[in-house]
Amino acid sequence: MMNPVDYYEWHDEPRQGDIVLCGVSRIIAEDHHSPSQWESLDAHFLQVDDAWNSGKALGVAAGIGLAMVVTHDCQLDKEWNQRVRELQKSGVELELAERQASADTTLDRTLIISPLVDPNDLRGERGNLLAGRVIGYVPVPPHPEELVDECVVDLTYQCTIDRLDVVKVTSVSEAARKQLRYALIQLDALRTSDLGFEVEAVIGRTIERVEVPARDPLTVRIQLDDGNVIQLLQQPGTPDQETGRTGGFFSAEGGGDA
Amino acid sequence: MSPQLQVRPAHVHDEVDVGGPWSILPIADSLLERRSSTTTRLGMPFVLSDLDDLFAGAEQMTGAVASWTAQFWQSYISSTESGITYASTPRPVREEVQRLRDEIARRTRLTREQIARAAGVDRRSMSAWVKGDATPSVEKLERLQVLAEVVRDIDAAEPGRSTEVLLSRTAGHDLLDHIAAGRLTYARAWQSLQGAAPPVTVVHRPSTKRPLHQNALDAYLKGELKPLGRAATIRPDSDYEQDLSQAERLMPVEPVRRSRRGYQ
Repeated sequence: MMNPVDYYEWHDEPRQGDIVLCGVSRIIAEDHHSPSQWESLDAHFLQVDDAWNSGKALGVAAGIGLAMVVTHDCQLDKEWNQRVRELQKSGVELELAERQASADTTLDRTLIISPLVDPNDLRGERGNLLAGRVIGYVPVPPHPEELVDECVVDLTYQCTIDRLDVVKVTSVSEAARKQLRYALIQLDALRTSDLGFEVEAVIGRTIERVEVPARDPLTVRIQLDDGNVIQLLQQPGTPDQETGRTGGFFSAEGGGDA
Repeated sequence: MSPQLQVRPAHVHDEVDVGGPWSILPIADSLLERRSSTTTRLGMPFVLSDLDDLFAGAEQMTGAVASWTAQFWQSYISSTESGITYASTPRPVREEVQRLRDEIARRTRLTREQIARAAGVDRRSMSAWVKGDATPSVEKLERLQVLAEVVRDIDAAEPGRSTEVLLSRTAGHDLLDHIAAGRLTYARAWQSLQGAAPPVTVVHRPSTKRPLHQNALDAYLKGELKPLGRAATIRPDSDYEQDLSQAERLMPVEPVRRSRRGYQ
């Protein structure tokens, strides 16, 4: 976990990585189940009967919480830039175009945020979570003015909210933002990037292709740019009694799901 | 003229014969005698001795007004306090459809397509009814009549808002959908259907421990925190463009995984 002094850095403008106080919500099933880590966020359950027009209800769990803005900086003023461009093309001076676009409160109204959760409420090992070793979670150090306790950003919970109902608590440094972006990539796009880079560094070749043959799922075939193929053999694991996973990232041993 | 009907000149002392199998119908200077029958296509003013006889062929009767469709004819019969029953001039169904359609169009801004939707058909089918190329079923004609009655009722309750009310959607359906589906069989029902929002249940669950956001919330309530706001930055168009053809070059191949179990 980063040092709070290096982590927090105030910026007036809204940015990716800002920690905000806002409403969060998610769609839920009719049994109103709340995973333990989200119980504090699921303060209100709203059920709309027959919302599907087939007798099936629509359920929403909502609450107030701390959250981190995960929307990219560029996306935060995308519509504003589009409007400025349009006005400029129609002959409006840049300064006036910016003023007109800024006066339009309907532009760039939405943000995507992920809530901050107490690592003690998560099933994963607290040390691994706060060390940033668990995919989907980004550690947040305690705020010097105690506005934010030690916690993690739960990237597995993302929701879109209106910018007008958001209170800015603090913002973070560029180094902290890099951690957030890397964690977003790891969760949503590139589970294997880290491993791939490390293997390439060790063997001095570029990996062209990686596959797990369907008929031999314990084998990983790594094809290199010189035509050679490396085969890795996984050790068969014993499924966890509760989760059914073999070496999942929620287990005490940590590691990764990749 | 039906063999069941006979016409003879009326005499001054003629009285309406209300007994037996005959009804005596005084029309202008003539008396029209009608034999009791289970059906009638006669819509001219006449006197009946047996209402049940007349209504035997009716498919629907509401209060003092009965209407039915028999092929191309429709008759309206109303009872008066004296017990004398009159029937209006018969109107071909095609004229009735046109009258209803035109009235609805005049009172609302509904398109012909939307009017036809309430009857459960498309615009071409309704045009065919008006031209006499096709005949609507009793059910579809009734839906058109219900729409006209609803329009009149909305006009009376909320003048000038009939189109807005008819097209306002609740749970994905507007009133035209309800009429077409047969869920609205009498005019006043539009109020319950139109204003019926799906029931919403809200359950609050108090937190059992101090929430993570409590300090920030306290600071906000003291006025120490400000809204997120907006501070836009001019950016090049390229910041908002992507080239998916680059995906193959930039992204490593993800390992092929076995399908996971446990998701239902």
